[in-house]
Amino acid sequence: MPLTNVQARDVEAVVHPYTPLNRLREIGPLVLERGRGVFVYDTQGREYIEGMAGLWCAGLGFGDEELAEAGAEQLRKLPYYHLFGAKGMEPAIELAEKLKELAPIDVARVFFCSSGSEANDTQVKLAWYYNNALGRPNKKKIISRVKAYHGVTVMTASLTDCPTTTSISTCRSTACCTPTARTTIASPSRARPRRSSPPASPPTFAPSSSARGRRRSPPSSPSR
Amino acid sequence: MGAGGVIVPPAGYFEAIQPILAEHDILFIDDEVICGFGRTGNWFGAETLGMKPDTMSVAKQMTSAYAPLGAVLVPPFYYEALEAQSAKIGLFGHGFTYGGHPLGCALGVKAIEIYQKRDILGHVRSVLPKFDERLARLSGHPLVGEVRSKGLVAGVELVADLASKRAFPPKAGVANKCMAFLQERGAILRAIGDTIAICPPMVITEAELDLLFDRLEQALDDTEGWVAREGLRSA
Ligand SMILES: Cc1ncc(COP(=O)(O)O)c(C=O)c1O
Repeated sequence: MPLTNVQARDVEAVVHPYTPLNRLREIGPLVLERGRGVFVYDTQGREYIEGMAGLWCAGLGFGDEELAEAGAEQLRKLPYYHLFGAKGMEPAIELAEKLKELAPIDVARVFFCSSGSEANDTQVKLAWYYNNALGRPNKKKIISRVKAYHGVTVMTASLTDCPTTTSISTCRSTACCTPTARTTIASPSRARPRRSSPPASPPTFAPSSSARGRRRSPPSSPSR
Repeated sequence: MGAGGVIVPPAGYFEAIQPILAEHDILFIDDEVICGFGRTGNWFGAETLGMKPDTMSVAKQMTSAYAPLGAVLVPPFYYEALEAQSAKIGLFGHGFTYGGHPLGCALGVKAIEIYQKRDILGHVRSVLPKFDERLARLSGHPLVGEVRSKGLVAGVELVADLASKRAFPPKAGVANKCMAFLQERGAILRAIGDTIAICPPMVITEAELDLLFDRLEQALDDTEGWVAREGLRSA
């Protein structure tokens, strides 16, 4: 099927994660416009029942007015502030208090970030920091499990067991995430031997001359 | 584990693992990014699975995804170490420009308030029998080798041969093809390898679950026809 206008604009402008980019023009992106409850609607007005809550996340579905209004209200009142250098703001305090109350573990404080990857990345840093503080600088290994997904930052991708994720970002060659450290504790019988470094493979891409030319353009000429 | 294909630990798994972690003084970090905030019928997956972690990562449903937000729940012994290191180094040198963004936090506060006042956990538990019944029905399909679930999240694994659980050749992209058929039929799920992930908004009703599963069954039938036409089983 030929792409609609908005699909054509999409494929020329947007990088799609976890998508076979070489086939994107043929597959055609599904461009969504609005949502209500468990339904989302594409730019043609077609309705889809959304059975994944997006990426396991839109728990209240799409278009909850009460929730949206709380966001709008906050944006009008204080659209941005941060927590650096001992600054604070009511929403962060209130949410941290809520999380302390709800969590089934003993929580002293809450550290905020913007994503699951950042949270898990921070977990690794905190574990190392903690062990450093205890005078155990060598206690650095992290065990993650076969088929685990913990994110895509350099650190969390190396805790993720997904070939397409680790092929783009991994620190397997460093001491922190050696293959032994990643050996499964989930089910030892399923543990597979792992290569200590990515397999040598022929290059799959050679930059076109124009791309190479652009990259080489001298920094002195800000041609924009 | 979700994005790896919805792998559910066997009963007793964490009870068995935790003494080993304790014995070797290994911290237990619980990634609640998917399971947190009601997905399994409890506030956290840890409660559903009998886990006693040292610390937890949360994100996703914390704001119902209406704004990006993540958090690390820092236990007392960690925080004492952070304070001690600050005394030594001068400060705690980690943080993000948007960490604790007021939009995300305001939405987090409101989402949790809504989960509580609309009793979303109770709702999840009340639709689980329907979810489980429709999942069980999928097990009878000639393409479905295994169905795994915990609470309102499931994985449906497609296989070429039910008896031996032989997989389709990965290049055939059978689950992806099924997702294309499903989209034509007006539903969205997600293929992870040969597994179809199902993780609907927690507010989904029984009637909506029926609609979702009806369309999935139709898409599986479409896929079965395609598999037969392409001769993918013999491959
Ligand atoms: C269990 C788990 N941890 C971490 C992440 C990464 O979260 P994000 O994509 O917000 O960085 C995901 C995302 O799917 C996840 O499912």
